[in-house]
Amino acid sequence: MNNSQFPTARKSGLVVQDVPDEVLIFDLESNKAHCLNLTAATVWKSCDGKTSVPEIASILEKQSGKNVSDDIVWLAIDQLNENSLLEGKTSSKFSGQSRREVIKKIGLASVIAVPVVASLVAPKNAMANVSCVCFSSDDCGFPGFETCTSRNCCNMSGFCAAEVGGGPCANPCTPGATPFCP
Amino acid sequence: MKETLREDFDRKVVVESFGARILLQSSSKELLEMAVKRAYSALLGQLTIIENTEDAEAGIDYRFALDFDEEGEWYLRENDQKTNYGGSEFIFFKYFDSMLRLRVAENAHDRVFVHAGVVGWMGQAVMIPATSFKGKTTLVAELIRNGAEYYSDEYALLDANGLVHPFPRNLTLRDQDVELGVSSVAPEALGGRVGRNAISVGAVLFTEYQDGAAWDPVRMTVGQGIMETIPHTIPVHADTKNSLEVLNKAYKGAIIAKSFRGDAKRVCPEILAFLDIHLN
Repeated sequence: MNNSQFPTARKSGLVVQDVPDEVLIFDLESNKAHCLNLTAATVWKSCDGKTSVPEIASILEKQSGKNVSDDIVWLAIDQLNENSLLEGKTSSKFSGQSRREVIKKIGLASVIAVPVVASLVAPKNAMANVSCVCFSSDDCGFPGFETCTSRNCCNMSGFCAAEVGGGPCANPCTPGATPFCP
Repeated sequence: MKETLREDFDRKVVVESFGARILLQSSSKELLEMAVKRAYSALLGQLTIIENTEDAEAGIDYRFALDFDEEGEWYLRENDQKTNYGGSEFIFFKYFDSMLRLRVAENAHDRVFVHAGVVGWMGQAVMIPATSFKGKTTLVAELIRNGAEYYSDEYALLDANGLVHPFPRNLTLRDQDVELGVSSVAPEALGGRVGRNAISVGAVLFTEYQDGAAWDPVRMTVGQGIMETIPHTIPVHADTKNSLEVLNKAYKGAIIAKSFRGDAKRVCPEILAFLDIHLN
């Protein structure tokens, strides 16, 4: 069980890439990518299971040359926790408060950037972002064509067409229906 | 659809492109020859036929089987899954063409393929990662008309050092007056030149058409830029570590910005002015 005063960063199943002033983490298990700003990245890297929250705040102070409250560290821990970037689960210090409220409270008092963990789910299918090719309107729901979004329908010429004719296709893709895009 | 697939693919060829090995199979000699010919053009000749097919099969990354069913219709199997039928040779090979490039892009060892338009400006690459139907090709075409060098309207090919290599297939412009609703346009027909050298990334622009939108770029960090690029990075699942490393190298020092844009003709001078200011 994780001791929340001595949080431990998760290492397994992650691909980590240091970029200037940020850290990118790709979670191979959840298929999510995360971008940690410098504050969040410093907290995450300091979570070795031996360093306490106040000690992590000190590390941030040394890095920034400014006073840093424990709340900043806790805010980072909350976000890292929510994104499964820590071992085990830590209970939130801010339970019952919305993040907006917490950020407002801490952010106003903070002289360093509040920790931010931005996340996105990477599309599993490489076809998601390439042109859809189809042979019938059924293809939109056919394995391999599921990336044709509902806005796209198969035009008479064999392409899932959202903008054929110069504008978005207003007709949803209806399997079995006559494909038509204006 | 009826499952009337034959499994006796007795003719096979192994091809290699950008390090990805693809097995092409068919029961028809003619069809296999057509597939190889098509593969050459789909990959702009960057394809090698592996002579000893039996040995080469061990290292196959992906396999396609092309054949006819009992009713004489075209079908294609990708690995062991049937993906489609087609009554038209033209559409069938158009599909094969796209899928082959995509599977090479997924399995390439030598390059990281990012779904993006690319032009050269002031000796540096301008990458425009985007999903289809967001006006990427329209913008690339307009940039070419305005003097940019053409690199690609489909994939940015990044090497291990983050340099962009040309992949100058003809541009595929939407055109409702022609078959398939798209027309193939050579960059020279737009008054453009094709870039020949690998160049570093000077700018990454995330932009999509929105009616009446103004070009109002917001600068992004390298991390934000890579995050935004991940959905367009074809091998991000097959080789996550290398994909992120290469993107990091490519984007380090680049101007990364995001904005909606209006009509390509109108916005193009603004984009070029933006690049002129920010590219060294």
